[in-house]
Amino acid sequence: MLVVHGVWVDGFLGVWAEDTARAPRSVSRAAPRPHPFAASTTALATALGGILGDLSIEALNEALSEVSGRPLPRGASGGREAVAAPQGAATGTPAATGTPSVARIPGVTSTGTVATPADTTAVEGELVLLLPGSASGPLPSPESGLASRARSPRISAWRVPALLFRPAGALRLLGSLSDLGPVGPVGLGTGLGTGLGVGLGVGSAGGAGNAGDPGNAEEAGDAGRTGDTESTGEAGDLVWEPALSLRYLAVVAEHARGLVRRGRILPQLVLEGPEGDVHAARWRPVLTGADLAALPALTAAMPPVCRAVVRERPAGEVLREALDGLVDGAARLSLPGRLILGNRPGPKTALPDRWLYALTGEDASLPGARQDEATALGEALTGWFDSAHELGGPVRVCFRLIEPAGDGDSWRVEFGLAPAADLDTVPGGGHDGGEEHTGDRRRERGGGHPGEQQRDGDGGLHEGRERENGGEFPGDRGREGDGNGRGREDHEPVRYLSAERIRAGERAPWLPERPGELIRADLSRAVRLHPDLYVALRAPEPVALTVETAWAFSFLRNGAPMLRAAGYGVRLPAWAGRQGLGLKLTTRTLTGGDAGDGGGGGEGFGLGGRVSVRLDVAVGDHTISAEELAGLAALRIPLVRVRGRWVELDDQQVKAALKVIEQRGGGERTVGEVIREVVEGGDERLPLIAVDADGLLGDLLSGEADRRLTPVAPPRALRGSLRPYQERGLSWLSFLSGLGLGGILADDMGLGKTVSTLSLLLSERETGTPAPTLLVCPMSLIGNWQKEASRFAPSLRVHVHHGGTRRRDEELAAAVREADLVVTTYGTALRDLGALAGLGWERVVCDEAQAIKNSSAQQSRAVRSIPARTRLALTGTPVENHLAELWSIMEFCNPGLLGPARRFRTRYQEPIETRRDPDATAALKRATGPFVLRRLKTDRSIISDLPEKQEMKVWCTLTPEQAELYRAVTGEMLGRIDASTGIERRGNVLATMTKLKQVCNHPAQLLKDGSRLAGRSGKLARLEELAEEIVEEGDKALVFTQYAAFGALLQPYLAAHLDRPVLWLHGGLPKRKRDALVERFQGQDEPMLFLLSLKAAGVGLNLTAATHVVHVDRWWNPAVEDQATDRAFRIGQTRNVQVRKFICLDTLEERIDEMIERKKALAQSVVGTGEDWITDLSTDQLRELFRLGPGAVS
Amino acid sequence: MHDTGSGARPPDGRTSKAQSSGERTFDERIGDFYSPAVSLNRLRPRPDVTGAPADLLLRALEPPAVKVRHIPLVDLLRKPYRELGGD
Repeated sequence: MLVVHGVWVDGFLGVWAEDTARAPRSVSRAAPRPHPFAASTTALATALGGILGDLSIEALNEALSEVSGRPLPRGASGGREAVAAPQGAATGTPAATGTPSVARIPGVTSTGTVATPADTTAVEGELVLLLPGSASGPLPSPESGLASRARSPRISAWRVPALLFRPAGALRLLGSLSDLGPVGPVGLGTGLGTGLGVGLGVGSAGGAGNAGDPGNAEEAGDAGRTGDTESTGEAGDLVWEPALSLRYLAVVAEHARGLVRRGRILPQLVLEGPEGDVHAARWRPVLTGADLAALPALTAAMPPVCRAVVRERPAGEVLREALDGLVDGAARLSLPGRLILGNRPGPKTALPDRWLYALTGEDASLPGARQDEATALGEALTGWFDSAHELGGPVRVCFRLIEPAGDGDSWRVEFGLAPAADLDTVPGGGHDGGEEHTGDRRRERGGGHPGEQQRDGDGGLHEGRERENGGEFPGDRGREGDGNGRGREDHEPVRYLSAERIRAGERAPWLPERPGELIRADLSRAVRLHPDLYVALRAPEPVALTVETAWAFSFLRNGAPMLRAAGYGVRLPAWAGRQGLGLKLTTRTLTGGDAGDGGGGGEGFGLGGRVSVRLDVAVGDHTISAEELAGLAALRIPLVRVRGRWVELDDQQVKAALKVIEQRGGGERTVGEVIREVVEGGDERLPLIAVDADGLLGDLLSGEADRRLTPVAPPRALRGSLRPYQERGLSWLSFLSGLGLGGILADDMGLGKTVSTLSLLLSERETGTPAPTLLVCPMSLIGNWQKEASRFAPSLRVHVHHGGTRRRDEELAAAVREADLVVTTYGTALRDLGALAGLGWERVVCDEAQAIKNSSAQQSRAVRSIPARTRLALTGTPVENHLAELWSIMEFCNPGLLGPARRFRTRYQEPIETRRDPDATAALKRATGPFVLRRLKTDRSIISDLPEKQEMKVWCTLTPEQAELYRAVTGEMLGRIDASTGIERRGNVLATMTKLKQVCNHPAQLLKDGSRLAGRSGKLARLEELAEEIVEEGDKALVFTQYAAFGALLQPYLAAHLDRPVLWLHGGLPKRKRDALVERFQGQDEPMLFLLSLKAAGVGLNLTAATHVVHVDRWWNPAVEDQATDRAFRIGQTRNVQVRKFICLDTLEERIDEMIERKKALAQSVVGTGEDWITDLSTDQLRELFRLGPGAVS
Repeated sequence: MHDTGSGARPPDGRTSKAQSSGERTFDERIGDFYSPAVSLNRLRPRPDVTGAPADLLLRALEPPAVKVRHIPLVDLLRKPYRELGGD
């Protein structure tokens, strides 16, 4: 695998890689020495070609549409041409634009040019990097998984082969990393043959599109090892992964693209070149407000390796250079080819003309510019640029619109001042009264699903309730709309002062010396954005304006968004911007013969049943009569008061509403039609804003069906009991299934999605003989499903369809006929799609359904295409990154129900993700609520159902490599044991135990060869999935291992994989460091893992910040494990704790666990002493204990 | 002490600027040389919820006294700026 790193060097993105297949080795003492395991540029270009080559021109444009909306110009470059000027095509391909003179950059040597497809030209070169290491070699990065052995590492210079991308190419590469998962493999030989100097063929398979899908890991691993390659052979395993340094630069590129997209750029005349004497036309970012506030964190976070070319450069300097370069590149990609029509300016043309041309052309430089012209142009542009930054002062003017009291028509616009920092941290300039980003992913992604808000009201998809506070500015508590701030609690710092209070003499520490002057100056600037404000300037000391409704409407519609966007504080009444008119759908159950097939929403409820329906026009909960609507339509100003509530009307809306009233939408519909109508949510002009349904249809549409439905008794065949919330979940599952509808069971991890699903299967077999259920899951979960089914539902006939020896054709059909539950993997479902789709299924279940979050991914399409009567998705995180994922999973569950993806995007996704539109959020909740059941561990009703400590076993399988090693160890060691006696035999038995447990953990732990970790251990795969879920939920976990060597391997790997802190406490740490780690874990809010050596940390520590405990390997001593668990589960713990013990199926781990379970009493006496008792077993008993069973291998 | 592989000092005083900016030196960052100091999730740009037009800067600022072929620069830029935001 290549671990690809990024540096920024003088206008270029430098990309280099560690090749994990090239083990670290000693190198010559030449200065600076070649990096011993850096990948060649050939391998690097081949690997990256998988991303860059995967995009056709059209696809590329799509990827860049957020930036440009126009095709990528050929050879577009935003780089510093003065130091990287094209010098003619070197490779003879149309894509190659030339060889920049990068040799002039200190630390960079150009060795050629590589043209990656689609006009992205990379310069092949060599970088001199300062890296930590020892005399024998540099330390490998954590992401490489390679062992590091330097005792006292020092910073040394190393030469690495690198590809250098100009900003245009850099933006493409960095933009393609947005899904930041392992990338690859790269299938070669099918793509574009570039025919370049280095002879690379770049394929179209693999790439970033689906690479991030968790379920693809199985295929990626296989294909990556067997990929057909026509490269030089140096590339070898072409799976690659972006290192954190490259991902960091991808974040910088996101900022750059955002700045360009929002127009936060201005053109400038700058001096460039080696001597700094060549004028050039460049786009520069205008960093004010939140953009400026983001810089210190970005600077502080820069990985040192990003700025380690030749010398140790300050992070701020490198960041600013990268941002400037990427902004200039993104602007050139986004703007049209020419800003003015006419002839191309020549060298004697006026400088402004040449400069304008160079702002979008390939060549930004303006050689030979006359000094007087340059001075005049430069001064004008610099003044312009500087004035843009004046808008971002530390204290800013605020506008507050106050609605008329009573029935009057007198509005008031109050002026005031507030610290900019308060406004910058509140999106919308404080509009939403504290609707603040926390940076916490869980909050950003809405806690998983909008539906959950109905349960706990604490989701991240912000409901409009923040607006109900009467329009406060931050820190402006106690104000009830009188504008005077009376009632503010004394202990709260003043964060807003109205002009009136300022004039009355009130002061705050942040207030400037002459606040009145600032208000006047800012108002003068604000007039440019909203000219109606000019009247305020008639007063020598503007305090407020009293205005009429028409003025207020203009301010709401035009002025407020513009002023807020410019950085002014704007506070509007709570109703502003909310939906005005909408539709209200009322359904009523029909009785007797009218109900038709399916009972019309009452008993025997079915999709074909009929209900009466009525459509009304409504404002909030109030329906509006035709007369009222006609009166509203006749009003001149579309800001009206309806039943005491102000509403902004829209002409189109009123017309649509009049049409609805004319048509008197009503009559009878089927239940299925009503559901579809609710999901469709009306149209854009007149959305559905309220539903009033009775009977079972009302239960379903309420989004609280699990609580309102008649409970379904737990199946008799279930071995175990369901908790109350699980019983409610079973009722919901049975209800949807009975209707033939699909659903998403999205309970938090550990709440029992597996047992709920098994209960559903058992339950439906109490009343009939349904066809089998096909369950698709990640490979790492197959063993778990088998085990859980045999534990909770032994009467279910389970068939596993997976692996090289799986049944095919008629054998498969026969096995399926005899099964109740068929378990397969996403990879196998894709490979055997034809066979599986041809069989009759009652239901298809997707476990860890985030695997199908990308609707266009092959495996998503595959599982969707398997016919079944009903479908079910199981996931703890139905929305990981964006709402399109929810659409994809819903499309699997109920095909077509949410409409086409494009409509979903415009109706829900864009309004919610870009504007946090509360109406769209409510509409999406209404549309998806019936089909999504999500309960959180933190729900009060769930907490009361849960034990304080939940213990679970996690069943893992071995990879083929692990199995091979396991067999080899067993074969060799049993021979030794048989041939030895006494102490030697005991030693051999214990050594065998240790080796086998190491194999179960990871081959690299046994082999101690520093080889890569990814994709080689079932336990590690499960730990990765679990850890991801834990940190996604915002939780912390303790992970215990008895092997310090394994912990040392896991720590850097997991830290890189999770992008969250992973602490590591082991016996080698002095007390001071241990204390610091504990303090950090307990004190910091960020989700994280704490890896602990069982021996070093099993007792004494207080780690109650953790709500999860994982025992990766077993000590077989319950007391020791319990003591370790009690680090989290102890006094001071206020939440429930989930404890998981990892066990490899059909290995010694499972057998010893069985022995412990079977002979609890015996275990207390003999097993309780550790593992010594095993040494007393006979060789035959040991052979049985160590045996590798058929269920062990995935 | 830095080791450049040949016992030579690192070129052009590589630590001076970084040190003067108050940053921890590379020697102090060996343990997290390849890692960002905070989670990348915290660094990502926040979604733009203002809905501001992309030509806002042009509207808000006093235009510069720059003309190209007698046309004010801001007039030439206004439409391309609007298109930046996909308007």
